[in-house]
Amino acid sequence: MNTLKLSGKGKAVIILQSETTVIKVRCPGLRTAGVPAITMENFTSSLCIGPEAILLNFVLNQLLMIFAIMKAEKKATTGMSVSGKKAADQKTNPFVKLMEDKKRIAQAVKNKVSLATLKDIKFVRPL
Amino acid sequence: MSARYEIAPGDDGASYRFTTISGLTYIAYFTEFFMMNEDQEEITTYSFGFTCDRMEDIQRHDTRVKQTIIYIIQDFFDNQPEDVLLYMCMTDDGRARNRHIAFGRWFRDVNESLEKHNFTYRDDNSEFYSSILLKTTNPNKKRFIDAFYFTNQYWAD
Repeated sequence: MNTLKLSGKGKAVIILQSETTVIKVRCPGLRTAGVPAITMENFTSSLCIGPEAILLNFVLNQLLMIFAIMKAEKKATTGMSVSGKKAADQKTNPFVKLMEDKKRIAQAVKNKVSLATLKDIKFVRPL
Repeated sequence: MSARYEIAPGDDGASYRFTTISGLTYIAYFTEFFMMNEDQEEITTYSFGFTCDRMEDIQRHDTRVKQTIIYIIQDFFDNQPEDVLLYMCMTDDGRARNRHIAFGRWFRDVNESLEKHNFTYRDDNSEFYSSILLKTTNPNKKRFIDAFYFTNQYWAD
């Protein structure tokens, strides 16, 4: 069984098992969006013979298009990114949150309130 | 010749503080910040900030404040040479650009072992100035810089 892995801009990995006529496409973003993987099992082996790179590039480009559309739609509707680990869980712009955190910190300092009481701000003391 | 102020860990377990000759107390702090790379994988970094307990009482430029902030930043990189610091300027009083320029001027006085990268975002409703600092010798420099611009651009779109 031959397995071929290709990466396209680090965004998708295609596993081609040509002798069993199975193409599995794994894209990190798809899993986050609720699609664990795309598997196409009805490819005939003849499709995999010849310039495999052309076939794989075609599939990869299709996936990247799907991925881009899903990303745009999800961001537009929820403000969330489609993929990544915790990055996908960020519901707010981290820069906006940081600015809001800075305002809260400034206000707490002004009012002589302990910073330890501020919720949702993870302070670290690296020094 | 000006010298920096003495820095002490805050009682809150979250900050560092120093008191100026005019009685102002400055609080410097680090918080976690998450950038993401092109694959939208999370990269944990630190943000740095500082504030004063009586901003309205700051009447004149105190070079020792600058020296102290620079010392904190240098100390951070002495201890963690492979990390990166993100800095954003407060925008609530319309002086973010002035702060951004001032911070850039301070940074030029730090030393040549650090480099700074900037991103400015403006639209009708908001204006952000963000910068990252990192050592020029950081082995992950490109990864951090790329992630910094990617994260900014991602949220600016």
